[in-house]
Amino acid sequence: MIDYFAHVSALHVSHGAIANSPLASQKPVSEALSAVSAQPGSAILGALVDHLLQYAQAPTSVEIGLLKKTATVFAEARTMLNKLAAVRLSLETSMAAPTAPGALAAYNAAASELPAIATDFQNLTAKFQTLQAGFPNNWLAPVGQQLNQPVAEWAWRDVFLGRRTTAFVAKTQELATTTRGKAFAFGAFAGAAGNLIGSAYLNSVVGGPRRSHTLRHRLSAYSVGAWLRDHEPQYAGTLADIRSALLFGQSGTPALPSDLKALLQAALQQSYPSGTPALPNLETGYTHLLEHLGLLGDFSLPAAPAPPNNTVAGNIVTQGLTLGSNSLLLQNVASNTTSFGQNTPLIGSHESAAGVCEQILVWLAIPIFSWIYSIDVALGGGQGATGSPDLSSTGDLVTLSQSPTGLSGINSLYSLALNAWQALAAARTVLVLRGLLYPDNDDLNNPTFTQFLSIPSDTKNYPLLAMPSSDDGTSYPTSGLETPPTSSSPFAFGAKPQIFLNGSANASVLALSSTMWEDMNLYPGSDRPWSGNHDLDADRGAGALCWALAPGASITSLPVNITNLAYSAI
Amino acid sequence: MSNGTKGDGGKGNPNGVYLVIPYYPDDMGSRPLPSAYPFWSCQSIHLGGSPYAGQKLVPGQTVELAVEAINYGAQTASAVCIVFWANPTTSFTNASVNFIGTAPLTLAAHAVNITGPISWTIPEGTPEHICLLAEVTAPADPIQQPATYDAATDRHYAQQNVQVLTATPGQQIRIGFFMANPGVVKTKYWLEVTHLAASHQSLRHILPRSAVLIKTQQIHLKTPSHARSQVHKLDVELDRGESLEVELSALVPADAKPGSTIVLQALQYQHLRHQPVGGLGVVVHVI
Repeated sequence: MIDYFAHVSALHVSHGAIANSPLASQKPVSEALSAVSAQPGSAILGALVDHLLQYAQAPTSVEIGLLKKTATVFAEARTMLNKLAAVRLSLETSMAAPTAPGALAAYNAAASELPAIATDFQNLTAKFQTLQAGFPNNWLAPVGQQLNQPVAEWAWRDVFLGRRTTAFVAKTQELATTTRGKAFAFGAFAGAAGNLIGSAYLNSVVGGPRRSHTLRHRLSAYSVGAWLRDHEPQYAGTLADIRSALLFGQSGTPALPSDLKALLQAALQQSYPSGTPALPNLETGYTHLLEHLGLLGDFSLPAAPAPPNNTVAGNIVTQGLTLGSNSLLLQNVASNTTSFGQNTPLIGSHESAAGVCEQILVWLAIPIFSWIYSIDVALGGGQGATGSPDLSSTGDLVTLSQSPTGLSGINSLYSLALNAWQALAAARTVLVLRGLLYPDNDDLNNPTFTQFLSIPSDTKNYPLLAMPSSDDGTSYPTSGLETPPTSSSPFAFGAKPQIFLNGSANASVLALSSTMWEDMNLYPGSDRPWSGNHDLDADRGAGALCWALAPGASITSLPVNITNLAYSAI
Repeated sequence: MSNGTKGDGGKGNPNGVYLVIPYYPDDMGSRPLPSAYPFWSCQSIHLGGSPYAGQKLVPGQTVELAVEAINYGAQTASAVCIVFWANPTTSFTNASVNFIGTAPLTLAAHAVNITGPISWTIPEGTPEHICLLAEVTAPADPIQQPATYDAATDRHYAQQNVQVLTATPGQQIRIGFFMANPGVVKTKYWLEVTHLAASHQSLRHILPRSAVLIKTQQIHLKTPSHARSQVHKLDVELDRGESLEVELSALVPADAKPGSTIVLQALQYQHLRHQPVGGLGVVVHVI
């Protein structure tokens, strides 16, 4: 199941390929191509039907709830960091020029905000703890086929990918009468083409099919998507672009356009007349799809905290303090075995995203109190650890700005800001490693993600069996071979992700689109290469047919005896 | 990946944050450095957009410095880079380093990045040749306390510590620098000056020409307390934080060809140890 970027890229590539082929002179084809140009949102929606169906059902849209809850806490953390940055700036500016007009008042005003920030930190910590408590380790819904379930019990995501998608493509083409409908139908075709070839690529880098390596497959799909986002931006643009196209100009509460809903519903009903679960609520799928696209953009990190200004930083360093490290803080957490960066490995661990963040934020709250307390003590104040220091004269501020205590306090706040920022970054990393977010551009240098960005040297052993449920999907499977073996893809060692889009002369969306369109739409169910009941998971290799277990066979008993399905079979 | 033998801060690890100021491509922070990469010349310290090559600095002039660093940890790091300058010295202490400025640096896992410019107006009285020292630190991978400033053994530090001179064949060159005790107890050291014969990839930015050898007998070291100079080696004992002025003199071979270069390195060793704890480079362009 390819991701958003791969889907929209495949749509562009297939549109270009067919437009430049002899097929383009045929009326239905030229109408479809024009429709895509006129109604790109409809075409993108057609390409993303697998995602829409995934998010139309609760078990396969768990991630939306997880992202929503986490995004709220992220937003609060960002707000708190911005508040802390403003207070720091004011304190540091005052201490750099303590005799400047207004410096004392600015200092006192900023310092008076610290107790509230300390409280915010504590409240945020509590929210992260709550989030952690409800954060499932394995959120991805299993694939029905891997559970030995009958199709009638599968999620629609899996029905659509594993049964009769080529018939669905032909049906939308047949039923589409309007420009918008024709664009949607072309999108549905491109979505199938992208999955058929793209899944073969994913299977190669994963080592097995989606059904038996769900998390690793998601990691690979999002890594490939991020790579396309960064290397082929001319195709899909950004997630915001995709979301914007899917809004069809609607503001407020968007609804699935009724004509497209009718077309999608009719095509699904006619392609899957029996043997499947009841159709899910397509409106829900559309709403969730938009929500998901929006949520994916809600985890940006704020700018990294700026060091104190040069005057203050120079004084801190001259005092022999390590800029950005708080010795008091480090002493306080020295016995805390969960402190960040020491005992909280991300890769290969099974910590939850919220858990990592919570572990950090628990002890981040320490230095604010320490700082306030130490300044109080240094200046003879008696307001205690939760009171705000209130300097009474410029002389106090001059003294403080040169004193080890004052400089240590400023350094503690800088340390706090750095740690809080890093806590957010770590939590974001965990969300990426759990397959909930796309890797950032910089993440793609990380071996955890680069492994998905080229075909590995050994793809002969395919498909590899599922790993134990504790596996985090970041390493190539060490499991045995699921027999009978087959070939995952025709792609050569070292091939980059664009191979399945336009990098192969005989096995790419670019190379095959014309043939595929013709075979699926003009000769459905025939014996032409792409007229069959093809499996969009490419489970048994690129272009393989949908399959069912042979009578008496089980997915867990080797060899896995299968029967290829006829065009009409579900 | 191997941590340095000391001074690596003890907090960084590949599963968290693991900062390195790289001396060469794929420098993963193992210290001491391979012999092809003298620790006194790091191309990750930039001046005016390119690696600092020891060019003369003019007081009053404003220059822009930047530092390149990489994070070999699995987590994104919010780090800070600090740049110092010092009079020519083989080792740095709190007393000898002068703060220049800082810059934040975000480092994703396995990503290399360079800071924004750190603007520096060169103060009056700054010598023409100075040492630049860069430090990278982050809460999850902090420097050791107290700071070691030791680029030879600590991946958090790098230095560009080269004096560049010109001389004619047969000329006696003289340069002065300090050696110091950065430790906390009285310590015996020895200083040794050698030439570099190899074609050092890491010195290309300061050494575009072919290097010529210089006989060790033609290199002399002298300190104020020694009436006579020593031939290329010097033993001293320094109190905690004490620094000592050293004069290095060397004779440019009479047959050295104009256009060639002599490269010397002065390395400071702790008594009975074989890994240097500090050092600097001297590049003499024969004209």
